[in-house]
Amino acid sequence: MSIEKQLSEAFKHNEASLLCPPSLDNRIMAEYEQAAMDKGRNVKMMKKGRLPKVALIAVVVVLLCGFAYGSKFLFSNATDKLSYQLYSSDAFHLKEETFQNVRATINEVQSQLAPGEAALVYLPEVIKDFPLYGVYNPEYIADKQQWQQVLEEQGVTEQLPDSLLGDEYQFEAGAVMNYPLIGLDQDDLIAELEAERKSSNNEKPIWRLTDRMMDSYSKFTSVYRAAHGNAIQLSWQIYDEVTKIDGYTSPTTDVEELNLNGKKAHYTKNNQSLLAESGVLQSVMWLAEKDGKSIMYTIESDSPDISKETLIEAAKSLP
Amino acid sequence: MKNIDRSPWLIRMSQGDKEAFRMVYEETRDHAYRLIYYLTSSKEDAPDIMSEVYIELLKSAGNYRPEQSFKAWFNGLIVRQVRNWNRKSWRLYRIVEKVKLMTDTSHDRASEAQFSAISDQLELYPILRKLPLKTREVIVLRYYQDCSLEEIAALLNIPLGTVKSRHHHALKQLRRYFEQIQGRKEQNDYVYREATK
Repeated sequence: MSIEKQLSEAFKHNEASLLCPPSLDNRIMAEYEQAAMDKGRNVKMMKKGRLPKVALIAVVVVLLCGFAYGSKFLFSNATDKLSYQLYSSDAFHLKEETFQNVRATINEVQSQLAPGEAALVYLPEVIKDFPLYGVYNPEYIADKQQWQQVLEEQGVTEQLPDSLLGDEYQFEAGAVMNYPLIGLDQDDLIAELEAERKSSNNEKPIWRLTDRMMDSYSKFTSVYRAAHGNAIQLSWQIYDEVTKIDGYTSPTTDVEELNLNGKKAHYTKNNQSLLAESGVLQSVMWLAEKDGKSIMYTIESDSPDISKETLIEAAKSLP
Repeated sequence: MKNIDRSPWLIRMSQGDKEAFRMVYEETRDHAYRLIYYLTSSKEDAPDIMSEVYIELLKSAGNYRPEQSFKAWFNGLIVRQVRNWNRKSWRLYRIVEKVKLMTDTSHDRASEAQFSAISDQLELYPILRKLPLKTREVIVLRYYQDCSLEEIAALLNIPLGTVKSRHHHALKQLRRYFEQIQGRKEQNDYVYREATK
């Protein structure tokens, strides 16, 4: 047997018998707590002084799902506190038939959720390695004053416009959009859902309710609707800590840099948006710094009849 | 370790979420321990290096990019911590810090010693000890982690030619060592058979 094979087999043979001593668990947990406390103190001290230009926290907002394989850089934008990069990845490109099936499954689950509820849907045909997709049914507030109050409590100091594009698009409702948290502890759930899929003969979606959300990264969305049914959504995301966001999208997404009243902005059109009703999501996004916080503004629409120019005009019309 | 997105958990643990840290730790500890065990010059140091690795993971979590392989990124972090450990002054400084931090480690130490005794039975450890750290890194990453030579070059941040050369020399040395062991075994076997005739 070659030396290479002998080495590989020796490592393989040892794997089961060489485990981390259980006694180390308490020690490492105690050291983590101590170091996390020290780190918290250091961050507070830095806040008093000049803020570092390098991002401290990497936040991942995944547009389609929680994964990012080999990716291509599309654009970046930044304020003093917030930096945003968008990448495209082949991993997010689905065949048309798969895309339509997955959207139907997501819609079916979403229709069964009560307002404010979130779920993890089992979609092995989309993400092989980690087949869970987060779905949320927002709780809309139709009263504009009440919604404005919610926004103020969340730190949005700007006055909510009554309408967009003159009087064409009127305020309809507002909602806090939350992202369900998907992560390491879901292995047991995946195994359970896979077993359910194997034992089930019908085509029913397989999913579970979840109450674990990424609370720090909520999006505050106001919906404006025109008489003919088209809708435009205006959203704020507020970051009061130094934050880095990496977004991922389908490789078919169109991107264009814009000058929005002197501010750098980006237009994107994603033709495979799983959460958009039409499957197509257009968006204009820009960043601003206000009262020591970073704000990400987005003007979006999944109405198929709305043109890029209309969306850009709506963004430009904002104060 | 599975190829899943750990970003949300790394973010949460870097913000002080103990449960998120526990998740990451429980999922990675055996892998980290084995890699440290194979790389370190003294197996008694493995528990201390483990603790350094997880403190460094907390500090570096913000540098991890989700499009990277977590395993490769984490392996790089472990390799750097093992190298750091070899610097004596650093090691002494950390020991002083640990004495301050830990209230009672006597039970842990006893348990770790017992565990090391079990691990002493493994045959790989003395073989790897024959190699200098730089070549040992290449062998462990190649045959334990199944990394390609290109991946090892990227992970260790050295030219591919250097990796190839270290790999070649390490195999030559190990081949010689295996032959010696084989020779000794055959000799013992011969003596045993002679004595029982």
